[in-house]
Amino acid sequence: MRTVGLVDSVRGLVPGGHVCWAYQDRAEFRVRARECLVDGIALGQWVEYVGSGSAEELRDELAGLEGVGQLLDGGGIGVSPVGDFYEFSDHSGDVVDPLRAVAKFVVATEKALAGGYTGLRAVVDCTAAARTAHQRAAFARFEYLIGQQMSALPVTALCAYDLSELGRAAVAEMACLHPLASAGVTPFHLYAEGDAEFALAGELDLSCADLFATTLERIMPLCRGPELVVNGGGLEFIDHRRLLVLAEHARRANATIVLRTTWPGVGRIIGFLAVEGVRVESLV
Amino acid sequence: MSPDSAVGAGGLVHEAALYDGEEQFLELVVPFVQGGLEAGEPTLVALGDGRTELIRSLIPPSPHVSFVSGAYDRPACVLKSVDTLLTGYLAEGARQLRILGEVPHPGVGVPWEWWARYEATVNHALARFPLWALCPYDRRITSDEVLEDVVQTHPYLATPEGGHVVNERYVDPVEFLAQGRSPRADPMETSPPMIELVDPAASAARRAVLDAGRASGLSAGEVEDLMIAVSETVTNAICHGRPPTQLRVWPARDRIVVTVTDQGGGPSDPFAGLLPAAKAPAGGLGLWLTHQLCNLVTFDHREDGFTVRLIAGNPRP
Repeated sequence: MRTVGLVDSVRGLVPGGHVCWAYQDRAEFRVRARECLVDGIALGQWVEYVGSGSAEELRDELAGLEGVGQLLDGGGIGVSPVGDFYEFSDHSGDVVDPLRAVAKFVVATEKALAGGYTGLRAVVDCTAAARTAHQRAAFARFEYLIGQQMSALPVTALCAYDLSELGRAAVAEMACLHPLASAGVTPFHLYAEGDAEFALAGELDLSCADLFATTLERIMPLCRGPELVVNGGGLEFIDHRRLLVLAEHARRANATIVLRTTWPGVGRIIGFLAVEGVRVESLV
Repeated sequence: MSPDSAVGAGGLVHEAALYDGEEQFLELVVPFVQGGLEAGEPTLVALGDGRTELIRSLIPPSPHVSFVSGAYDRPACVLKSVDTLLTGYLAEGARQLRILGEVPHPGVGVPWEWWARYEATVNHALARFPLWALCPYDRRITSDEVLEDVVQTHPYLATPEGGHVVNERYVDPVEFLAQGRSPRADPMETSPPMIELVDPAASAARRAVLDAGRASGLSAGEVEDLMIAVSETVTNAICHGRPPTQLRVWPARDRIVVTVTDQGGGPSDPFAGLLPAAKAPAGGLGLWLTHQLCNLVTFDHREDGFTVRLIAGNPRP
C-alpha cells in the first residue's frame, strides 16, 4: 500500500497507517470497516470499533461483519460510542478536546500493548465529531496531533466520514489531514510526519484555495520554532498563491518555512517572485 | 549635451537612437559610453550580435563601464534585473547611471510584441532612477511596425548629429499599452491543436502541458516551466476572465505553443506581466511569473475574447 495519496481500499494498512474514507452509505462503510478490522485482527492488534450510536448498536453492526462477528466474544475487539472514545471540551459536549483526546488514545494504546496485543487499530466513524465548523476545527487538530503519535506508537486508524451527511467540502477538511484518503476527496494531504512539522503532498492550486487556507489556520498554531520544516517529498504542484499563503503563515509565526521537496518548480516560483518566509531545500 | 540638459532634471531619459549604418551607430553610441566613463557614471553596455565586443574594443577599460551579453532574454526578467542593479549602484553612491541597450526585434529574429510592451513599461518602471537609457535601432533591419512602436515609446530621440531632442510623438505608456494590439498568431495555430479543452481546471491544464511535453523534444525543465505558466494563466482566466475558457496546445520538436482564451477583456493593469501587479504581494503575480518562465508571452485582444499566448522552446518557428 502506498504511504501517501489516494487509495481504493483500506487493506494492507500497517502500524502508523492513517487513512480517511469518505463513504456514501452505511453498506460502503461496513465494507471498508471490515477490511481494516480483519487486517488488524490478523496482525494481533487490539481493534476498536467506534461510531455514533450505543455500544449495543455498534456491537450489533460488528456482529454482521464476516470474519469479525464470530470473534466478538473472543477478546481483542472493543466497541465505543464516539462520546466515550474521545475527550470533549467542557463547555460544548460535542467538540473534541484535541490534547486530552490524544492522551486518552495513547493510554488506550499502551493498555493494548500491556495486554499482549501488537498495537491498537481504531476503525472510527468520525461523522458525529465533524458536523460543525467548530467541531471540525478542533477535530482537525486532533487528527494532526494523533498523527504525531502514530510515528512513535503502533497505532493504525481508519477515519470514516459520511459524505451524504457532511457534504464534500466538510469531508475534505478532514480528509486532507490524512496521508491516505479515498479517491476524489482531497487534492492535497497535510499531516504530521517524522521530524518535520508536517508533510505536504499532492497538488495545491485554486481548486483547494479555501481548504488549504482553512487547514493552515487550524494546524499552523500547533507548529513551533524559528524554522518550520515541511516535508514536501510528495508535493506534485503548488501555485504561487498557495506559496504566498504559506509565506503569510510563516510571517505570522515569525518563522521561516523550510520546504523540502523533489519538485524543482517550487524553487523556480520562489526565486522568480522573491517570496520571503519560505526556503526551499531539494530532496534528492 | 547631457541628459540633464535634455530634460532639465535628473530623472529617466529613455532615448531611442535610430541609425542607418555602422558609422552612424558608432557616432551615436561611443560618445555615450565615453561620456559615462569620463563622468564616472556606472554605464552598462548590453548590445546584440557581437557589438558589445566591438564597443569594448573601442573604449579603454574602466571600472565604471560594464559589458553584458545575452541580457535581453525575457522582458520581465530584464526589468527586474535592471531595477536590482540600479538600486545597487545608487546604494553605492552613484548619482547618475547609463545603459546602452539594444532591444531585440524581428530584424534579429526575435518576436516583438512583448518587447514593445517592455519599451513602454521602461518609462514607468525605471522613472525613479537618474538613468540615461539609450536604445539603438538599426533602421536597415527594423520593420516600420517596430519603428512606429519605438517612436511611440521613447520620450527622447538621439539625432545622428549628436543631438538629443524631445520626441513629440511619444505616447504615455498607459495609453500605449491600452491600445490592445493583436499580435500575429503563431503559424502553428493554423493547424488543429493536439489538445483542446474548454473550461479546464488548472490541474487539467497542467496535464495537457505534460502530455504535449512528451510529444515535443523540450527538456523536462522547459516543460515544467511552461506547465507552471499555463496553470497560472488558466487560474487567472477562471478568477478574472469570463467563461468559457479555451485551452489549446500545439507541440513541436523544438517548441510548444499554448493559447488560453477567455471572453473577458484581459488584465486591467497596463503593466501586467512585465511588473508585479500593484496589488502584490496579496496575489496577482501570476502573469509576472508567467512572463519570467516562458520564452514568449503575448496578449491578443480581439472582439471574440482575450488570448494569452505562451511559448516554450523556440519562440519563433
